[in-house]
Amino acid sequence: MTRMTLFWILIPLFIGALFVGLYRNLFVKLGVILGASGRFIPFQSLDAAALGRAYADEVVVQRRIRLRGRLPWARHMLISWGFSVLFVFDVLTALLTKYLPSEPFMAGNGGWLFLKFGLNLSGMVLLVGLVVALGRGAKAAGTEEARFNDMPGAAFLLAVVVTWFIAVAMHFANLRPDPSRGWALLGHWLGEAIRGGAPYGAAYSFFWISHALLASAFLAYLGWSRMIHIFAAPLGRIFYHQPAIRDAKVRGVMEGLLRPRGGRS
Amino acid sequence: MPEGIRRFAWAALLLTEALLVAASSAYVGFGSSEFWLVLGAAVVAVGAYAIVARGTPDPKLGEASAASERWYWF
Repeated sequence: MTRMTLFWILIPLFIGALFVGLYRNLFVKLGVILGASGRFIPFQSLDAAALGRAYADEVVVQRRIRLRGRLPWARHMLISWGFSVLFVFDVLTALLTKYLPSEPFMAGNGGWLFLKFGLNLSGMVLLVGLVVALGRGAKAAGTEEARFNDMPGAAFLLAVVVTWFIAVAMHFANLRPDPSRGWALLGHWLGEAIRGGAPYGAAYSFFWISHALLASAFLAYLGWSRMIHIFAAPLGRIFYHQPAIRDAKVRGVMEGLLRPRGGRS
Repeated sequence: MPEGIRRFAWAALLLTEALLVAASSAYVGFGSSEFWLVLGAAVVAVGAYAIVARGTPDPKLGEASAASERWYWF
Protein backbone atom coordinates (compact mmCIF):
# COMPACT_ATOMS: atom_id res chain seq x y z
CA MET A 1 0.00 0.00 0.00
CA THR A 2 1.40 3.39 -0.99
CA ARG A 3 1.55 6.51 1.20
CA MET A 4 -1.14 8.14 -0.92
CA THR A 5 -3.48 5.16 -0.59
CA LEU A 6 -3.16 5.23 3.18
CA PHE A 7 -3.93 8.94 3.11
CA TRP A 8 -7.04 8.40 0.99
CA ILE A 9 -8.33 5.76 3.40
CA LEU A 10 -7.79 8.01 6.41
CA ILE A 11 -9.17 11.26 5.04
CA PRO A 12 -12.89 10.20 4.93
CA LEU A 13 -12.53 9.18 8.60
CA PHE A 14 -11.01 12.51 9.61
CA ILE A 15 -13.67 14.41 7.67
CA GLY A 16 -16.30 12.29 9.41
CA ALA A 17 -14.78 13.30 12.76
CA LEU A 18 -14.99 16.97 11.65
CA PHE A 19 -18.69 16.64 10.87
CA VAL A 20 -19.41 14.77 14.12
CA GLY A 21 -17.69 17.63 15.98
CA LEU A 22 -19.64 20.24 14.04
CA TYR A 23 -22.88 18.41 14.78
CA ARG A 24 -22.27 18.12 18.52
CA ASN A 25 -20.66 21.51 19.04
CA LEU A 26 -22.31 23.78 16.50
CA PHE A 27 -25.37 22.46 14.68
CA VAL A 28 -27.38 21.31 17.72
CA LYS A 29 -26.77 24.61 19.53
CA LEU A 30 -27.58 26.62 16.43
CA GLY A 31 -30.73 24.58 15.98
CA VAL A 32 -31.94 25.24 19.53
CA ILE A 33 -31.21 28.97 19.36
CA LEU A 34 -32.80 29.47 15.97
CA GLY A 35 -35.71 27.16 16.71
CA ALA A 36 -36.52 28.90 19.99
CA SER A 37 -36.25 32.44 18.73
CA GLY A 38 -37.94 31.87 15.40
CA ARG A 39 -35.26 33.95 13.76
CA PHE A 40 -35.54 32.31 10.39
CA ILE A 41 -36.00 34.67 7.50
CA PRO A 42 -37.47 33.79 4.12
CA PHE A 43 -34.96 33.86 1.29
CA GLN A 44 -36.74 36.84 -0.32
CA SER A 45 -36.13 38.92 2.81
CA LEU A 46 -32.39 38.37 2.62
CA ASP A 47 -30.61 41.74 2.41
CA ALA A 48 -27.83 41.07 -0.09
CA ALA A 49 -26.16 44.46 0.50
CA ALA A 50 -26.05 43.84 4.28
CA LEU A 51 -24.70 40.36 3.62
CA GLY A 52 -21.95 41.79 1.40
CA ARG A 53 -21.05 44.50 3.94
CA ALA A 54 -20.97 41.98 6.79
CA TYR A 55 -18.76 39.65 4.78
CA ALA A 56 -16.37 42.49 3.90
CA ASP A 57 -16.24 43.82 7.49
CA GLU A 58 -16.14 40.57 9.42
CA VAL A 59 -14.33 38.20 7.09
CA VAL A 60 -12.29 40.20 4.57
CA VAL A 61 -10.90 43.04 6.72
CA GLN A 62 -11.98 41.75 10.15
CA ARG A 63 -12.80 45.18 11.59
CA ARG A 64 -13.95 43.80 14.96
CA ILE A 65 -10.54 42.24 15.60
CA ARG A 66 -8.91 45.52 14.55
CA LEU A 67 -10.62 47.09 17.59
CA ARG A 68 -8.50 44.82 19.83
CA GLY A 69 -5.31 46.38 18.49
CA ARG A 70 -3.01 46.44 15.50
CA LEU A 71 -0.91 43.41 16.45
CA PRO A 72 -3.78 41.01 17.25
CA TRP A 73 -5.45 42.12 14.01
CA ALA A 74 -2.26 41.71 11.94
CA ARG A 75 -1.53 38.22 13.23
CA HIS A 76 -5.15 37.13 12.78
CA MET A 77 -5.14 38.49 9.22
CA LEU A 78 -1.88 36.67 8.46
CA ILE A 79 -3.21 33.40 9.84
CA SER A 80 -6.72 33.54 8.39
CA TRP A 81 -5.69 34.78 4.95
CA GLY A 82 -2.60 32.57 4.84
CA PHE A 83 -4.73 29.55 5.74
CA SER A 84 -7.56 30.40 3.33
CA VAL A 85 -5.35 31.12 0.32
CA LEU A 86 -3.20 28.06 1.07
CA PHE A 87 -6.35 25.93 1.12
CA VAL A 88 -7.46 27.35 -2.25
CA PHE A 89 -4.02 26.69 -3.79
CA ASP A 90 -4.03 23.19 -2.29
CA VAL A 91 -7.34 22.41 -3.98
CA LEU A 92 -6.19 24.04 -7.25
CA THR A 93 -2.96 22.02 -7.20
CA ALA A 94 -4.84 18.76 -6.67
CA LEU A 95 -7.35 19.62 -9.41
CA LEU A 96 -4.94 20.93 -12.04
CA THR A 97 -2.10 18.46 -11.54
CA LYS A 98 -3.97 15.28 -10.55
CA TYR A 99 -7.66 15.22 -11.48
CA LEU A 100 -7.77 17.44 -14.57
CA PRO A 101 -4.08 17.42 -15.52
CA SER A 102 -3.08 19.76 -18.29
CA GLU A 103 0.31 20.51 -19.82
CA PRO A 104 0.83 24.06 -18.39
CA PHE A 105 0.48 22.70 -14.86
CA MET A 106 2.88 19.82 -15.21
CA ALA A 107 6.17 19.96 -13.27
CA GLY A 108 8.49 22.75 -14.41
CA ASN A 109 5.94 24.62 -16.58
CA GLY A 110 4.59 28.14 -15.93
CA GLY A 111 1.32 26.99 -14.37
CA TRP A 112 3.16 24.60 -12.06
CA LEU A 113 5.48 27.39 -10.92
CA PHE A 114 2.46 29.63 -10.33
CA LEU A 115 0.88 26.95 -8.10
CA LYS A 116 4.15 26.46 -6.21
CA PHE A 117 4.52 30.22 -5.81
CA GLY A 118 0.98 30.54 -4.41
CA LEU A 119 1.39 27.57 -2.07
CA ASN A 120 4.71 28.77 -0.71
CA LEU A 121 3.77 32.45 -0.40
CA SER A 122 0.53 31.69 1.47
CA GLY A 123 2.38 29.09 3.56
CA MET A 124 4.99 31.69 4.48
CA VAL A 125 2.29 34.24 5.41
CA LEU A 126 0.64 31.60 7.61
CA LEU A 127 3.98 30.62 9.13
CA VAL A 128 4.80 34.22 10.10
CA GLY A 129 1.33 34.70 11.60
CA LEU A 130 1.62 31.51 13.65
CA VAL A 131 5.12 32.27 14.92
CA VAL A 132 4.04 35.78 15.96
CA ALA A 133 0.88 34.39 17.61
CA LEU A 134 2.76 31.73 19.55
CA GLY A 135 5.55 34.12 20.58
CA ARG A 136 3.09 36.79 21.68
CA GLY A 137 0.88 34.16 23.35
CA ALA A 138 3.77 32.81 25.41
CA LYS A 139 4.67 36.34 26.49
CA ALA A 140 1.11 37.31 27.39
CA ALA A 141 0.18 34.01 29.11
CA GLY A 142 -2.14 34.52 32.07
CA THR A 143 -3.07 38.09 31.18
CA GLU A 144 -6.40 39.44 29.94
CA GLU A 145 -4.87 39.84 26.48
CA ALA A 146 -4.36 36.07 26.32
CA ARG A 147 -8.10 35.42 26.71
CA PHE A 148 -8.51 35.33 22.94
CA ASN A 149 -5.48 33.13 22.27
CA ASP A 150 -5.71 29.57 21.04
CA MET A 151 -2.21 28.26 21.70
CA PRO A 152 -2.93 24.53 21.11
CA GLY A 153 -4.66 25.32 17.82
CA ALA A 154 -1.82 27.61 16.68
CA ALA A 155 0.84 25.03 17.68
CA PHE A 156 -1.06 22.27 15.86
CA LEU A 157 -1.30 24.36 12.68
CA LEU A 158 2.38 25.31 12.97
CA ALA A 159 3.28 21.59 13.02
CA VAL A 160 1.20 21.09 9.85
CA VAL A 161 2.96 23.96 8.06
CA VAL A 162 6.49 23.14 9.23
CA THR A 163 6.26 19.46 8.22
CA TRP A 164 4.98 20.58 4.80
CA PHE A 165 7.91 22.97 4.23
CA ILE A 166 10.40 20.31 5.30
CA ALA A 167 8.81 17.70 3.01
CA VAL A 168 8.82 20.17 0.08
CA ALA A 169 12.44 21.13 0.75
CA MET A 170 13.53 17.47 0.83
CA HIS A 171 11.62 16.79 -2.38
CA PHE A 172 13.33 19.70 -4.14
CA ALA A 173 16.73 18.72 -2.74
CA ASN A 174 16.24 15.24 -4.22
CA LEU A 175 15.80 16.79 -7.70
CA ARG A 176 18.45 18.26 -9.96
CA PRO A 177 18.99 22.01 -9.36
CA ASP A 178 16.65 24.20 -11.40
CA PRO A 179 16.74 28.02 -11.07
CA SER A 180 13.11 28.33 -12.19
CA ARG A 181 12.10 26.64 -8.94
CA GLY A 182 13.08 29.91 -7.27
CA TRP A 183 9.36 30.77 -7.63
CA ALA A 184 8.76 28.18 -4.91
CA LEU A 185 10.30 30.66 -2.45
CA LEU A 186 10.84 29.15 1.01
CA GLY A 187 10.46 25.57 -0.24
CA HIS A 188 13.19 26.24 -2.80
CA TRP A 189 15.44 28.15 -0.38
CA LEU A 190 15.23 25.39 2.21
CA GLY A 191 15.77 22.76 -0.48
CA GLU A 192 18.96 24.46 -1.63
CA ALA A 193 20.10 24.85 1.98
CA ILE A 194 19.82 21.10 2.65
CA ARG A 195 20.94 19.89 -0.78
CA GLY A 196 24.21 18.67 0.72
CA GLY A 197 22.40 15.91 2.61
CA ALA A 198 20.42 14.65 -0.42
CA PRO A 199 19.02 12.20 -1.38
CA TYR A 200 16.40 12.07 1.33
CA GLY A 201 14.54 8.78 1.18
CA ALA A 202 13.18 7.62 4.52
CA ALA A 203 13.32 11.13 6.00
CA TYR A 204 11.25 12.53 3.11
CA SER A 205 8.67 9.75 3.56
CA PHE A 206 8.53 10.43 7.28
CA PHE A 207 7.87 14.14 6.84
CA TRP A 208 5.41 13.58 3.99
CA ILE A 209 3.36 11.12 6.05
CA SER A 210 3.63 13.30 9.16
CA HIS A 211 2.33 16.27 7.20
CA ALA A 212 -0.53 14.31 5.60
CA LEU A 213 -1.62 12.87 8.95
CA LEU A 214 -1.30 16.15 10.82
CA ALA A 215 -3.16 18.11 8.11
CA SER A 216 -5.99 15.55 8.07
CA ALA A 217 -6.15 15.42 11.86
CA PHE A 218 -6.24 19.22 11.96
CA LEU A 219 -9.41 19.15 9.86
CA ALA A 220 -11.00 16.79 12.40
CA TYR A 221 -9.73 19.02 15.25
CA LEU A 222 -11.56 22.06 13.81
CA GLY A 223 -14.92 20.76 15.00
CA TRP A 224 -13.76 19.95 18.55
CA SER A 225 -11.75 23.00 19.57
CA ARG A 226 -11.77 26.78 19.64
CA MET A 227 -10.90 26.51 15.98
CA ILE A 228 -14.63 25.95 15.45
CA HIS A 229 -14.73 29.76 15.29
CA ILE A 230 -13.62 29.41 11.65
CA PHE A 231 -17.20 28.25 10.97
CA ALA A 232 -19.15 29.74 13.86
CA ALA A 233 -17.86 33.32 14.11
CA PRO A 234 -18.35 34.49 10.49
CA LEU A 235 -21.70 32.71 10.40
CA GLY A 236 -22.89 34.46 13.55
CA ARG A 237 -21.62 37.88 12.53
CA ILE A 238 -23.11 37.70 9.04
CA PHE A 239 -26.33 36.32 10.49
CA TYR A 240 -26.87 39.17 12.94
CA HIS A 241 -26.13 41.79 10.29
CA GLN A 242 -29.38 40.86 8.55
CA PRO A 243 -31.93 43.60 9.38
CA ALA A 244 -34.81 41.08 9.51
CA ILE A 245 -32.97 39.01 12.13
CA ARG A 246 -31.88 42.05 14.14
CA ASP A 247 -35.45 43.39 14.13
CA ALA A 248 -36.82 40.01 15.21
CA LYS A 249 -34.31 39.92 18.05
CA VAL A 250 -35.23 43.44 19.23
CA ARG A 251 -38.94 42.58 18.95
CA GLY A 252 -38.38 39.42 20.99
CA VAL A 253 -36.59 41.36 23.74
CA MET A 254 -39.24 44.11 23.79
CA GLU A 255 -42.06 41.57 23.98
CA GLY A 256 -40.26 39.85 26.83
CA LEU A 257 -39.91 43.15 28.72
CA LEU A 258 -43.54 44.10 28.20
CA ARG A 259 -44.91 40.71 29.22
CA PRO A 260 -46.28 40.77 32.81
CA ARG A 261 -44.18 38.64 35.15
CA GLY A 262 -45.89 35.54 36.50
CA GLY A 263 -47.66 35.98 39.88
CA ARG A 264 -47.52 39.79 39.88
CA SER A 265 -50.21 40.69 37.40
CA MET B 1 -33.32 20.65 15.89
CA PRO B 2 -35.05 22.37 12.96
CA GLU B 3 -35.41 20.06 9.99
CA GLY B 4 -33.64 22.54 7.67
CA ILE B 5 -30.40 22.49 9.72
CA ARG B 6 -30.55 18.71 10.14
CA ARG B 7 -30.91 18.27 6.36
CA PHE B 8 -28.17 20.78 5.62
CA ALA B 9 -25.75 18.99 7.98
CA TRP B 10 -26.53 15.61 6.44
CA ALA B 11 -26.26 16.94 2.88
CA ALA B 12 -22.91 18.61 3.60
CA LEU B 13 -21.49 15.41 5.11
CA LEU B 14 -22.75 13.11 2.34
CA LEU B 15 -21.61 15.46 -0.43
CA THR B 16 -18.13 15.83 1.07
CA GLU B 17 -17.71 12.09 1.59
CA ALA B 18 -18.97 11.37 -1.95
CA LEU B 19 -16.52 13.91 -3.39
CA LEU B 20 -13.66 12.36 -1.43
CA VAL B 21 -14.49 8.85 -2.63
CA ALA B 22 -14.79 10.10 -6.22
CA ALA B 23 -11.50 12.00 -5.95
CA SER B 24 -9.74 9.00 -4.46
CA SER B 25 -10.54 6.91 -7.52
CA ALA B 26 -8.13 9.09 -9.54
CA TYR B 27 -5.32 7.76 -7.31
CA VAL B 28 -6.33 4.26 -6.35
CA GLY B 29 -8.41 3.33 -9.41
CA PHE B 30 -12.17 2.82 -9.44
CA GLY B 31 -13.12 -0.66 -8.27
CA SER B 32 -9.64 -1.58 -7.00
CA SER B 33 -9.23 -3.19 -3.57
CA GLU B 34 -7.93 0.15 -2.24
CA PHE B 35 -10.98 1.91 -3.64
CA TRP B 36 -13.25 -0.35 -1.57
CA LEU B 37 -11.17 0.47 1.50
CA VAL B 38 -11.70 4.20 0.87
CA LEU B 39 -15.42 3.60 0.35
CA GLY B 40 -15.49 1.52 3.54
CA ALA B 41 -13.84 4.37 5.46
CA ALA B 42 -16.47 6.78 4.13
CA VAL B 43 -19.27 4.39 5.16
CA VAL B 44 -17.77 4.08 8.65
CA ALA B 45 -17.61 7.89 8.91
CA VAL B 46 -21.24 8.28 7.83
CA GLY B 47 -22.29 5.49 10.23
CA ALA B 48 -20.47 7.17 13.13
CA TYR B 49 -22.16 10.47 12.27
CA ALA B 50 -25.58 8.78 12.18
CA ILE B 51 -25.00 7.23 15.62
CA VAL B 52 -23.88 10.55 17.10
CA ALA B 53 -26.71 12.48 15.45
CA ARG B 54 -29.25 10.01 16.81
CA GLY B 55 -27.73 9.92 20.29
CA THR B 56 -27.08 13.63 20.82
CA PRO B 57 -29.95 15.29 22.68
CA ASP B 58 -30.78 18.89 21.89
CA PRO B 59 -29.18 21.09 24.55
CA LYS B 60 -31.38 23.32 26.71
CA LEU B 61 -31.80 26.83 25.34
CA GLY B 62 -29.80 28.39 28.19
CA GLU B 63 -26.95 25.98 27.63
CA ALA B 64 -26.90 26.64 23.89
CA SER B 65 -27.20 30.41 24.30
CA ALA B 66 -24.42 30.48 26.90
CA ALA B 67 -22.09 29.06 24.26
CA SER B 68 -22.28 32.37 22.42
CA GLU B 69 -20.60 34.05 25.37
CA ARG B 70 -17.42 32.23 24.46
CA TRP B 71 -15.49 34.31 21.96
CA TYR B 72 -14.97 31.49 19.53
CA TRP B 73 -18.62 30.59 19.23
CA PHE B 74 -21.59 31.81 17.19
